[in-house]
Amino acid sequence: MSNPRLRRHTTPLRRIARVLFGVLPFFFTACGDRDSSAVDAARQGVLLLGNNTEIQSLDPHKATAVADGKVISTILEGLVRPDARDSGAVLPGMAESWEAGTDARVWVFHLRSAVWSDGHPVTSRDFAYAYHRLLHPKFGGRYAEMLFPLRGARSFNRGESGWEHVGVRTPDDRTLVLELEAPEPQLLRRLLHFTWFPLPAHHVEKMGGMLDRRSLWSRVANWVGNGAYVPQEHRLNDFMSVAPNPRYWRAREVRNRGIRFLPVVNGYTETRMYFGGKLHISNNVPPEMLDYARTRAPQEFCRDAYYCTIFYRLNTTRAPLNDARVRRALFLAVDREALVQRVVRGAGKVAYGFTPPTADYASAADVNVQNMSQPQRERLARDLLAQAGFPEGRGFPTMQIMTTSRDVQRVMAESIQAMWVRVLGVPVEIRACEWTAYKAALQNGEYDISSCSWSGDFLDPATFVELWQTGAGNNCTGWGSPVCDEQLEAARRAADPQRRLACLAAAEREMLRACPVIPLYWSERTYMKSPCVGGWFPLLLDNHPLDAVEVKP
Amino acid sequence: MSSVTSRSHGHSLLRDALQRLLRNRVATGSVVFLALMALACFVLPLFPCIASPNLTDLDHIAATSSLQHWLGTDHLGRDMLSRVLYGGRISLLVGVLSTAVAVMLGVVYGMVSGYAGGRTDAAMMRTVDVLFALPFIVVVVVFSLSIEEPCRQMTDYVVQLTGWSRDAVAPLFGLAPVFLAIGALGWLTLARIVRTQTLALREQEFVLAARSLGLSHFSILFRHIAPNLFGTVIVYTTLAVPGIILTESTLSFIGLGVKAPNSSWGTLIKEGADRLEVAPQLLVYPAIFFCLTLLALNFLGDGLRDAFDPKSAKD
Repeated sequence: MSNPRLRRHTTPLRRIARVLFGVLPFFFTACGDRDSSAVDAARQGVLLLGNNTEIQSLDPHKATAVADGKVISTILEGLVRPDARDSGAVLPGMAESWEAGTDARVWVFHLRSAVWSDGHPVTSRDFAYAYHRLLHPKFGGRYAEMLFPLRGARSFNRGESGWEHVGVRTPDDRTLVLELEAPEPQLLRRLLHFTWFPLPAHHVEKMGGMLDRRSLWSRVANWVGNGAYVPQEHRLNDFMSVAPNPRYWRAREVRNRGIRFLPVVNGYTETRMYFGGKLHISNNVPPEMLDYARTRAPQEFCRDAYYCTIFYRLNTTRAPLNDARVRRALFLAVDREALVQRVVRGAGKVAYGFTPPTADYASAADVNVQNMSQPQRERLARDLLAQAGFPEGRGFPTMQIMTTSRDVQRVMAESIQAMWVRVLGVPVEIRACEWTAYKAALQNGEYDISSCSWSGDFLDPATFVELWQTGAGNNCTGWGSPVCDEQLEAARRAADPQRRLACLAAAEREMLRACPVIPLYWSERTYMKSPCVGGWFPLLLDNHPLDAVEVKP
Repeated sequence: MSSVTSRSHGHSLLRDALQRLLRNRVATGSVVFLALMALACFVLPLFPCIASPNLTDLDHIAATSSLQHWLGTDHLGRDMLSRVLYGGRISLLVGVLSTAVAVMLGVVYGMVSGYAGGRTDAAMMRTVDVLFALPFIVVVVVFSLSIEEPCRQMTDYVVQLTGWSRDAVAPLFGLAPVFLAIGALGWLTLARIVRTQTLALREQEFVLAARSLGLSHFSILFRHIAPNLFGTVIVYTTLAVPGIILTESTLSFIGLGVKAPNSSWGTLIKEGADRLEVAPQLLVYPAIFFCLTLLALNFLGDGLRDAFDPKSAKD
């Protein structure tokens, strides 16, 4: 404004108007009809996939998060690979064929002639090397218990016996023999999980050796893999992209030209990104947006059954949570009906047990508790808390609920906090942490109560119950009981499938009685899927083989 | 600096400025508005007609305005009006307390630096330069996290000592890391302004007179220089409060300010922004309160500046 007279007459209100009109055009140009990135990517055949959180590691022996697993499953391949339509079925992967001994205790896998992305052949030794590394007591793999069905794996992991006693043999480069602790007809389902994948032994050795936890072999720039894709670029908090691996044995059958994983923790942001044309498949529509998403795009809204439990872990090493009565009181005081109906908006089922029920496994929940009315449960909860020395919550120290910064978890924590305050009168605070900090605090036991979810790694109740083995890598509650461990051990040795399930149920019942966790609900997966995506079907384990997904403009 | 008329009537600078301020309608309106807002935030929640801000009612989620809930309810069925008022309490409190910390530090530091002059002055100002170079938000985050634990212990101690309810004490002490951190870093600009003013003032005749009378440095600083800084400082303060409320919102937005379920305007706006498509009123109500308060503070600051320094006037 060069005119001095104009300057003098500018009132504050005019100044605001000026600023507003200066800024508004930018808003409108931002909404212009330039092609959205989803359309662009579809034209190039690249899939844009919402992947919840930032990836911690591409090393399958250091990763534990679902988001990491999704990426790893595209860049490494195990003996078998998942079916696009059925979580229970398997297709041949690195293994061309296999035979199980008569009692499913010894499995022989015949490998195909495949190569790593650097041209080295994939051999049975690469599998043995990977299992040796994950189980090695000096490596400290958090997911080591996934390999415990192998004979001698547990005692090797505890340092009680040597690697030569573990049931993994490599008679030649193309044959892998797995000997199990007990007959396991469902072994193939377990093999779909990334803990059973091979590692490029020659490469890991070159980059620092088997036990080097800080090895850089799994960095994007150094990566050697045998999966359908190779990592292309990783931008922190932006995206992780993978490109087709030309040396993959089925390279011609890969249906897309690459995948971009976007770590968007906030479900509201993610859903908005989807509608703004930034994603092909989103990870999660938050409960409060369900109706909105369903009405806005009924064809694109997906709601799939999911093998997943939402629960709270209690740190049983801290007082007063080391008292089972206190834990049980907290468990009883949660009004799950209200939680599922109002907060989760029906995208889940009320859970009193831990393992989601399947056709062959009913939950081990306490039927008495399940049949009570909520006021009855609350009365019981108050009684238990009084017995533990905190009548009406008097003298109870302030507890913190640790959640990730995920919106659903925060809202849930606020409503549960209100329930505990109302029913028990205990002071509770909420601490929302960024994902990496949350994960670290959980694994180091630096929390009181933490908001968690566990999704099945394979289609079997063991993937839920085995968490609660004393000292298991993902137990994180400090709780353990010999009875539970015994039953888990018995389940591993049981020849009869019915007997095995009974043992698992007994172990779960024992765990629920002691209440180191508070099961809340069994969730469903709600997400958005663009009409340009093909070859994607609902899967109970959400382990979609992403190379089978097509993207058409 | 004062006009001929005011000198003849013996008016003080302050009274003069006040008169000029009262003639500025926008600024007077802002004062009234701010007073009403503070009254609403601090007094209104004491009446029983305002529900508790943390009382959830899962049967009435994101309800629109009704007789029972004037501004409706939020995503957990909590009364929105009550949450906005309690949120305003925290936002205003943080604004005022952080500014108080910043003003105390800034004025003393700047005055000493300007009055001492020479090498002391140079050293003190270079220190300010160094602090200026640090990224503000990052330092605030680190600082507030590092004093979080002591503040928690302090809360427990106060609760034990006084027997007050934890709910009453916790929000204030829970906020201490935030306002201490913002205040401890927000004084830099003020220190510079005050130093420049002091440099000019110490050459004035009345300071010379005071010195020749043998007054101590301390009393020269606080009896003779400080009152003359009043105008500058008060203008700066009103203009700093909105910035600090914004900083608190930023911190709450990234999860470092108030702890759930307590709210500030920043957290309310964040929660509302998430639910924009589903329940826009959750964003609109706190945003209106927030924007109006910030505007009022800015207008008041502008008005005060014009009132204390008629020459800078209307641009």
